[in-house]
Amino acid sequence: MMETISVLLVFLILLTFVVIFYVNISTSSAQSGREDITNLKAVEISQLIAYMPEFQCSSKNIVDENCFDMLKLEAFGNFSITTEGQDAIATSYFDIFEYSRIEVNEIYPDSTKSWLVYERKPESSRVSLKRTFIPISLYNAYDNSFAYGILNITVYS
Amino acid sequence: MITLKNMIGGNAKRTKAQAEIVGITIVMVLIMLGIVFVIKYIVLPQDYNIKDAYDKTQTAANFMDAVMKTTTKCNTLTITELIQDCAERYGTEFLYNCPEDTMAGICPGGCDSCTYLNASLEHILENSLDEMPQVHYDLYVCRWNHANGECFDLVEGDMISYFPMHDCQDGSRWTKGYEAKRLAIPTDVGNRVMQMYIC
Repeated sequence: MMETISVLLVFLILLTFVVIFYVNISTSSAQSGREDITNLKAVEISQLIAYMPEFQCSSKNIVDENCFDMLKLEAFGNFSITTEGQDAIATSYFDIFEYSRIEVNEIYPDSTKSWLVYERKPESSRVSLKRTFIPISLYNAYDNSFAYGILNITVYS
Repeated sequence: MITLKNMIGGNAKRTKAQAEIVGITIVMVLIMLGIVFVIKYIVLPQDYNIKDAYDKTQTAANFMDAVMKTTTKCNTLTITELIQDCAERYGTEFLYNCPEDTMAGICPGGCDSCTYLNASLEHILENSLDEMPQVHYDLYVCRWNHANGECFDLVEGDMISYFPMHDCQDGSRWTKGYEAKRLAIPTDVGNRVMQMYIC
């Protein structure tokens, strides 16, 4: 009788350890899956924004890939700080960019230039964020030159 | 002599032995489950991650594409043109003389195109890829040896730029999980190559 009880007790203890181990594994897998989704969202945003005519470089209707037009970035930035611009961005671009921050920084030759393209944070105070950095070209139509820059995408989740 | 007492005692012993066997079996099953978990999640290598490979390849491709087109402050030459000048006129007095870039802190007092090229690439790498977490790379600009898939370093001028982090290498061998991207630059003295490994 006592032996049976002790066997069952040991069995329950071992089963508890197995369940705890499995729950930890499942939790880390779920966390990893959530990070993958956030990563994919950042990649999706980078692909979408690279082909938006509001920012892309083009010459005679030929699109230059992985290139952002500085003059378009400046114009978009000036538009986004107006009331009309903020309403337009909230209604038109939220479906594309959702809760994220998109910023373009020039690295070389002039590292002082940067443009905030889009930002919308979720209202919840507990947010996690994932940053993605993508090297890009920046075209200056004034002097037909290219600069090297970084597209910073921060996805809030 | 078979008696009722002996039979009862025998049954009790058999029952006790059976209970022990059941207990041992349960413990063995649990230990096997634990071994399976350990083998699956700890011992076996991770599956090849296609997304990671895509990210690394895209980062290398985007970087090289953006860098090659970049216009420098050395007589408004692009990085590609600096590489071509450095390859064609290396060791001669006909290399471009580049002025100092005070904003980026490159080439104080002026320097030749090869020095300016390396300083520009170093500045770009320090302010972009070096600040990206989890990005390790090796970057070469050189004359490429197609026979062994490496840079020539035999003649001075064969290796134009060399930025090794060696985080992708274990001694002389490339470790797993790296992606490579190569871009050819035509010059009058043969093609030069910008090769980047990201891991």
